[in-house]
Order: sequence, then C-alpha cells, then structure tokens
Amino acid sequence: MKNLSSVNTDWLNPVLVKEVRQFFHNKLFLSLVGGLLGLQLLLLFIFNLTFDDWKNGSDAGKIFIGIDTALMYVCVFGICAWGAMQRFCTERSSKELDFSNITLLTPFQIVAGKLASTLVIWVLVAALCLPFMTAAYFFRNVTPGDILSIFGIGIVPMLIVIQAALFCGALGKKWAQAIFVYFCFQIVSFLVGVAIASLFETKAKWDIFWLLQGGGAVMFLVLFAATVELITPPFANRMFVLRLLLVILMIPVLGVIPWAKKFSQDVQMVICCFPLGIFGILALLNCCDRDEPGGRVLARVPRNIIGRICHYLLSSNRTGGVILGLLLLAVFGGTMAVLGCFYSKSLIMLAFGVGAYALLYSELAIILHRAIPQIPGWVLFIIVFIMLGCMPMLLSLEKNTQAYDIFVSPFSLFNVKGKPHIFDYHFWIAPAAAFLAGVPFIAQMILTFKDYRAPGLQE
Amino acid sequence: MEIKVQNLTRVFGTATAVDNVTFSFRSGDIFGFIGPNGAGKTTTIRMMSTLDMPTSGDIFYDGISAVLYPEEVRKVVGYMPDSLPDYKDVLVWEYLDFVARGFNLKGKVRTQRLRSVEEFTDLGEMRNKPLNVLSKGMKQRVSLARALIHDPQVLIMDEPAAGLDPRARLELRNLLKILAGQKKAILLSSHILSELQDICNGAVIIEQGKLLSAGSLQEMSREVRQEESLQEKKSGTVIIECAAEPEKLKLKLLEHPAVTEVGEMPDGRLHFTLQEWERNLTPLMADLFNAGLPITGFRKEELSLEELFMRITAGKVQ
Repeated sequence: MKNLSSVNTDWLNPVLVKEVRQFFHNKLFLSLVGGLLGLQLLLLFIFNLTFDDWKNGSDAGKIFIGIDTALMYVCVFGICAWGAMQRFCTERSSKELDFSNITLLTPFQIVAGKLASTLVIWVLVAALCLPFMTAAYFFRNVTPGDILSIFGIGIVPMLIVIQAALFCGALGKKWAQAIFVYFCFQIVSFLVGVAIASLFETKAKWDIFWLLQGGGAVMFLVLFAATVELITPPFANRMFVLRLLLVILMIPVLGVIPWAKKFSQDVQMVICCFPLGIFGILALLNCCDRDEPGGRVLARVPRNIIGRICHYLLSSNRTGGVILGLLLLAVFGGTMAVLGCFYSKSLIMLAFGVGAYALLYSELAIILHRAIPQIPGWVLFIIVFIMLGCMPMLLSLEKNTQAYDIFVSPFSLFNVKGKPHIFDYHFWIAPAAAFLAGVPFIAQMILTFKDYRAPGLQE
Repeated sequence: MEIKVQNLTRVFGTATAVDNVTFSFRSGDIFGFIGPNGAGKTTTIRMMSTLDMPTSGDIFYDGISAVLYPEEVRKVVGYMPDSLPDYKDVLVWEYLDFVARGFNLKGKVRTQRLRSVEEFTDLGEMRNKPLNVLSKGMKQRVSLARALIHDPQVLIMDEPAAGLDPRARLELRNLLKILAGQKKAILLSSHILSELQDICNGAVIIEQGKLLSAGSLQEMSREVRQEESLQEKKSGTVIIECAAEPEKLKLKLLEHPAVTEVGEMPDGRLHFTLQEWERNLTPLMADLFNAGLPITGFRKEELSLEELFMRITAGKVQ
C-alpha cells in the first residue's frame, strides 16, 4: 500500500493542508469526535433497548434521526466552524502572523483554503453520523429518501455557518465570536426545527424550500466575498471580488425576467426583491470605500479601453461604485420596463424603488463625506444602514401604511391621509434624486477616468 | 541587489512615526538599524517588508516598488519578526512546510529547501515539536528559517537578538556572517549595539522618526570626525599604549600644550585629546620617544558603533 505521506499534495491549497493537519493535532477535536461516536452509540443502544416499548407505526425512527441530526449540527458548528474561526482570529490578530502578509498566498486562496479544510472535516463528521442515521431506517417510518433530504437540508445553512465563522474570524477580534455564537444558535434552532418538521409534515412547501436554499447560497457567496475583502490589505483592490460577485449575481436575475410570468407570485417577489439586496450591499460598500483608487490599484489597470472601464467600475474607488450602481439600476429597470412580464406592476416598482433609494442614500453619504471629510466611513455605513433598513420601519410605527410603501420610501408616510399608493409621487423621488445626486459623480468620472491608467502610461 | 528607501513617511493620525527617511544598502551588506524605543524602526521595517503601507515615499528592490508590487517584493525579501506564533497544534516542520508552499515551492525543491534551512538553523532535533513548547532561542531559529525558506536575497530582521542568551546570540551572529557571505543584503534592528559592532559594516540611525545618519561605518565615522574636527578646531582622540611608567606618560602628555584631556582606559591604556592632531601628533610622539618612554603602540581612536550612535544622536533631535 502506498504510504500516505508520499502522496503528492502539491496541487492542494497550502492553507487546506495546514488546517487539516492542525485539526488532527488538536486534542479537543479528537476528543469531540470520540465523544460524538460514543454519544451516537449510546443513543442507538437506548433506542434499541426501548424499541419494543414503541408502538408499531411510531415515530421512533424520526425522533432518532432528529436527535442524531442535531448532534451532527452541534458537532460541526462546535468543531469545524468554531475551530476554524479561532485559528483565523489568531492569525489575523497580528500582521506578522497574517499569511497574506508573510507569503505569496492571495486572500482568495486563504479563505478558499480555510473553507475547503472545514468542509473536509464536515465530511468526516458526516461520515461518522451517516451510518447511525441509516440505523434509523430500522426503527421504521423513515425512508432512505428522508435521511438524504434531512442531510441535504443542512448543506446550505452549514455552508453559511462555516463562512460566517470565517468572516467573524477574519475580523480578528474576540467580540466577533459572540456574534458568531448568536448566529449559530439561530441557525441550529432553524435547522433542527426544519429537519424535524420536514419529517412530520407531509405537505412540505418545496418551492419555498428551494427559494430559501437559493437565498442561502447567495448569502454564502456574499459572505465569502466579504471575507476575502476583509483580509485584503487596505491599499489593495479590496472591492474587486465583492463588486464582481454582485454583478455576476445580477446576471441570472436579468436572465429569468423574460420568463417571470411562468413562476408563482412568491418566486416573482423574490426575483424582484433580489436586486434590493444587491443595491443595499453596493450602497454600504460605497460608504466604506475610499475616494481615490491608490497607486497599487492603478498599477494593475489594463491598457485596453474595455479593460480600463471594467476595472474602473469594479475596483476600489467610490465614484466607480456609484456609477456601477447607476448602470445596474438602469439595466435592471430598463429590462423590466421593456419586457414587463410580471404578475404585478407593484413588484417592479418595489424593486426599482428600493434600488433607487439604496443608491440615493449612498450618494448622499458620499457627498456628506466630501463636505465633512472628518466623518469616518463606518459612520456613513451606519447612516445608510439606518436610512435603508430601519428608518422607514421606525416611522411606520406611527402611521398605518401599506407594506410596499414602508419598504420603498420614508416619504410615503407623509403622502396622503387615506390610502397611500405605490404609484404616487414619492416613488419617483428616489430615481430622480439618485440620478441628480449621481450627476457630480458622472461628471467626476468623465474627468477622472482620463487619469485612470497604470503609472508610466500617462499620455 | 540594491535596496533604496526613498523619502519614506508614515503618519498615524496626528503622529508622524517615520519622517522622510532615505537610505540604501546592497547585497553583502549587513546594516544595523539603530534607534531608541519609539524611534520608528519597526514601522520602517514593516513597510520595507510590505506589512504596512507608507503614507508617502517608497522602497525599491532593484527598482521594483514595494508600494505598487508587494507580491514581487515578497519573493526577494525574507522578514524575521520579533515574535513567532504560539500554535500548539502546528509542528515546526509543518509550519515551515506551509510557508514553503505559500511561496509556491513544490515537490523535491520544497523538501530540499526545508532540509537545507533546518540544517542551517540547526532545527533538526526540534522539527517534530509544536511551536508553543519552543524556547525563545529556538523560536528565533524557526523565525529565521521561515524568513529563509524561499531563499530571499534580502533579509530584514526586527530585534533578532532580543531575549537570547549569550550563546544563542553568538550562534545568531555566526549565521548572519554566513548569510552575508552568501551575498544577501541584511538589515537588522537592535538595541544591543555591541552585538551589531562585530557584524555590521553599515548602520542607519533614526530617532523620533527622523533619519540622523546612514551609510557604512567608515563613512559615518569619517562624517562625525569631520564635523567634530570643524567644531573643535580639528581635535582628535588618540589611544596610546605604554609598556611601563604610565604615570610618567600621563604627566608628560599633560605638559604638552596641545593635549587638553588625558584619561585612563580599563585595560590600562591611555587616551588623550589632541588639538590640531594632524599637525601635532608627529612632534608629540617624537617628544615621548625622546623622553625614553617605552611606547608600544598608538593609534587614532576609531569610533565604536555605540560611540557613533551617542555622538550622532546627541542633541540632534529635539
């Protein structure tokens, strides 16, 4: 048999190799794996002993698999995610230990390596649990399909939890661990609830399930890109991965618009609201971004004009971010307006309106920053976050308004006394104001784009 | 390879940690980076190692900018920080193997490189121990091995001798001499000037973020001398050795009108300050020989690194 140490691992991500080695040197990890096996054996033993007491057609198998699934989730969160977060946090606590500073590894490689290693350990834990889950089959009323679906339900939430752990670890602060614990508690509760409910519920809403899974997958991707961005040095092109991802995520939305009528109203709602998240993130990113791209970004600007434009829109600089937002909004609004194949026009208005408001708030925050440069980026982030997410809600506590209006604009609350309507003037405030506020950025873009090229290539 | 630090400035809020620092050194040089606590040494070193970004200025490694192309610079720079991680679940060889992989070393090349640095830093027996059980000296060795794993042409070390016992210091000094012999450019910061004296051929002196002097020790010594000569009417310090009758020699020296100050060194030799020494030294020596004093040697005092530092820093920065 070939010696394991002689296997060529050169093609593997170095961080993956290091992390897996660390897992297997960690005594806590090994004892937890032992503990998991012991607990499952004990559980099987107890169920086996008491099996005769359960009535025929009972839920013994379902309960067994429910407990085992919960054990697996807790173990994965406890071992994989928590361990990965702790290590990442330690590595990020000092620049001298940060791999992106002391090696040639890129931030993307580091995050991907850590994610991959955690997934490897998850597979290991799952391999320990699956035989016991299969035993549930013999406790009756559980089919192999149930077992696989329970396992499948957990995949996307598990990815989100692992990525959230890496994100919290990338912050390099101890307090971030508390956020993660809370986050895990929520997800575990949700997962265990869904897993058990799906077994007992005969009429599961699968379309909602797939929507949630799809939304979760997007959340995972955004978290991944945000983690990469967090560990990218401040003067490098931090925004690139996240902005590129947001653009890529918009493509399938635009792609399904022509066939939107074929979907249910719930799905149409998601298609329309999806850009809401995109514009919200873009708005918050613009607040945290820097005004000037900096020498390190400029040094990598492609020479051809198409490359330069794309680089300008996707790279770290606020003006580029605003222009990208305006472009995406124009494409999204334009596509919907031209094709207009939605179940309800209100949905189109909702998505377009929220996008416009998100952009408007970010433009105002940037204009505010330029007027008073002392305001730090994180304050602008909070201002936009409150304006975008909380202010309409808070104001609505005082007024009896329709849900659409609340989400679109705080101005709707001052609209009419009786029944405010989505097509009223308040809806058009945002697109018009966003465009007007964007005029300085467009003018600035025209002026600054001329100099947006690699050093030494100035004409 | 030539390393040029040009107008390097780093500002943290309202405090200027490094203020317009410019110096250069090249392959084969061992430069000491000297300055009191808070002088800006570590900040400068971190910028040179691409761990931090200057507010203005740049560092060029054979013309490659560390600000614009940090990835390229990392290929030729080995950075040895004053601390090493305390991982309890990473063995020494695994840590070095990971860093080697991080520099894209593959297959046999990586294995050979790993063996080579382990041998060079004498880590063979420690390779299977976790990092957290290592002594300070051993950690410094691992840190040096990490810095050397990709065979960099430039080595930047932050307080490499701090916390080491005398034996470990001696070993480190020998390793550095070997590395300089391999035509690597080395910059090391230290507070222990006597340690640097034996191995450095140049120094960069910094205080409160400002560069006070930089260059080879001879150049700096000459500069200080010239400055002092101008200030003190070309006076100089001479060390003189006498086989017997040191008291008689002392009296004879004090009688001479150009001698202003005579002192005794711990080893019994005398040192004295001579006004316009270039003109007066030969007649003075002739007088001493004629007086029958058994003079066995005399030389103009060469400034030690410590003396250079003290003289250069004295009163230059407010």
